Amino acid sequence: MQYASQLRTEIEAALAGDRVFLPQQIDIRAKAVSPALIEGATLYHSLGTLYQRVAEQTARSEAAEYYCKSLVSYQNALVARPQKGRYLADWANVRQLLGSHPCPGAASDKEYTEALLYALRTNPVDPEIYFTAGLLHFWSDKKSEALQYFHGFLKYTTEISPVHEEYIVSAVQSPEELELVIPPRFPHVVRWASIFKARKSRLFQKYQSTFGLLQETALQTLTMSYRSGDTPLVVYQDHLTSLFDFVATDRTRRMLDAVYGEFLSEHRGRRYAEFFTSRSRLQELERVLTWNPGDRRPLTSQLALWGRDDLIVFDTRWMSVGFFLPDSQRVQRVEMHALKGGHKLDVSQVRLYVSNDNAKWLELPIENSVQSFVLDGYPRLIIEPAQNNFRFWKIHYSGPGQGQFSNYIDRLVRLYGRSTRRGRQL
Amino acid sequence: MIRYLLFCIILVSGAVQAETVQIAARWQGSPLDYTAGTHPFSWVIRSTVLPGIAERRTTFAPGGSNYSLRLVDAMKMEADFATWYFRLSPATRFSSGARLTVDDISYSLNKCQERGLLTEIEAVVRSSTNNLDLSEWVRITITNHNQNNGLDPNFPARLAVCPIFQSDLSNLFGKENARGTVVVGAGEYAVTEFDLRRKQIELSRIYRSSARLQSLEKIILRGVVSERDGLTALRVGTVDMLVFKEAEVKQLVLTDESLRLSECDEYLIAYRKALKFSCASTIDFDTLVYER
Repeated sequence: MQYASQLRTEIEAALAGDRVFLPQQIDIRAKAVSPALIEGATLYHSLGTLYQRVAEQTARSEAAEYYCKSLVSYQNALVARPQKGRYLADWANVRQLLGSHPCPGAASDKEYTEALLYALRTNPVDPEIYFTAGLLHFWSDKKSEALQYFHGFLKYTTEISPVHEEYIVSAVQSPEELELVIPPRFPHVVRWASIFKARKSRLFQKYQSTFGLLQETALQTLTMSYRSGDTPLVVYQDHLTSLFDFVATDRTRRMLDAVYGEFLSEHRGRRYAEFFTSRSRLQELERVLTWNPGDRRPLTSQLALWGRDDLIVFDTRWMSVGFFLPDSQRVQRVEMHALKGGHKLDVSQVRLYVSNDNAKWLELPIENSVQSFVLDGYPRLIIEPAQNNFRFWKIHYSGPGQGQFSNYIDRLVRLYGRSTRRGRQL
Repeated sequence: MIRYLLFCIILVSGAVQAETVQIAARWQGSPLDYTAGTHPFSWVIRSTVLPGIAERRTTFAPGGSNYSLRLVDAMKMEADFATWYFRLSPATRFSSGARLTVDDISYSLNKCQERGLLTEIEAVVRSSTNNLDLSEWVRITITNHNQNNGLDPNFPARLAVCPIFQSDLSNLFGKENARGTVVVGAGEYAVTEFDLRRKQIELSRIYRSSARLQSLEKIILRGVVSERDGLTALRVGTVDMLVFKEAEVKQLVLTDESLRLSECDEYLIAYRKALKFSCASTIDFDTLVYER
């Protein structure tokens, strides 16, 4: 045992570049250690890494020999620790590099599939083994098996690293595959929607309806679990609120609004509950946004520079936030959502202007249809306009600058109402 | 670098970069067709707000091409000139800040086919690239209507007539797209005011981090009742340029020592003598300076 430990120290020194060894010298000495011992497993794994390093620095004609030695060393390590995910992954990596090149003494794919199954039988909830199994199958072009193992990984893991994210995002190439991998439960339905939205926005659009279905299933399961007392109130509320920013479809948003409205009516009173419950009956509308700082003539100035998603401070004097409402849509509710920590907006300083030609504007009275409040730390302004058949809209702030109501414009302004547009997507 | 050298030359020669330029043309405030209109204001808006994939050159380059690439940064073609590939420049941004995509090119070329500005486009698709090439390419396949003459090796010059719109926003704008200020293109400027009452259109430079500090900030397009009125405005200094076509006005310009005449892409431009600019197929506003 002491001999193995000393040898391992020497190999690690060689890996760190502190000592120079001929790999053959190490090889001869390592033969004296039994791979069946746990200490032998770590030794053989380090030896495999050393051989791999040598292979990478050797001429191509001789590299295969060292890759083979690396493969056999990883194989020896796995004899003692067949469930070690890292060993399996390293073995699979070298195996992939060698392709069909024959290596004396190396095990076959079949043997390692058995090793993997053994590892899963002995540790059925170890997420790293699932992930490694997913990788092995992914590299061997066994896509559907790989996706099932990635699903197992997500089912049992509590931590997802950027490496995990990278492999899973690149493995998923269709809505069906997404459905196979992502477990329909919280927090995965939020987390993976956010990952795809941030990293693969085009794919997110393609997978929107699948994400929506996963989120709806998760929402139903969570609510049942909360109602039966298995999920604590705080956890339930956290999961619900986490979904609002990453809700994939408008149908899912309406379902979430209804569920959250019901939750609030039980715990926070009717006023806040009604905000969500009434919204659950409306469709979210498409719009093109813009903003105009220093808009001193809101009745005549035009909206321009469309589509920018800037961070803006709405409660700045003479600020106008505008939107274009596409055809076949009628807005029934304009919502403004500020970032958390901001202040309630003074509604007496807010005006609503409408136009059909972006040149002549009309002020719509809003005194009886505007609400301003802070919910869960988020300041909100709600306007329910009396008339809604206009194309150009302007929400104007004319009060003194406060700097307490800001957000990215795309998140700042949301519209709800009725739409008969074809092929609309959020 | 070239722009910097130009800037230094301008400084040495005693010329100053204009911050605003006012261009007059006969216009009563009727709607302008940004995509295909021949009105001088449509022409200016197309070149500054809504450029195409390429722009035409009035002179042939040594290689024999009569175009230069604009929103794309590389190009290749099949030997029979039936398939063309363009690499989308990551630096190309719409006034909204969005990057140019294959969908935008597909949407815009399709609109130009509908309008009859282009006739030969068969397909516009995303071109598959190898894993090492992270850039996005678009593949454009063209048909040969005239089998005898073969396909045009200068096909990209044809694309210069087709403005590129941001497709998702244009779809939302529907019939309002490209009317007044409701337009999102990938040019250096955006239409920020379209005042029918004052018959004035304002184009403002889009701030981009790559933009040089000394640059023309605004282009004001002013409608005048008649070209003679425009000439008067030019003489008294209310405007810097007049785009016109009447022979009688041309004669008056030629006999006025304080003015110059230039022809740019079939448009006649009268301007004050101190003003300098170059013209390829459109006015190059980056070269516009006033001599001291």
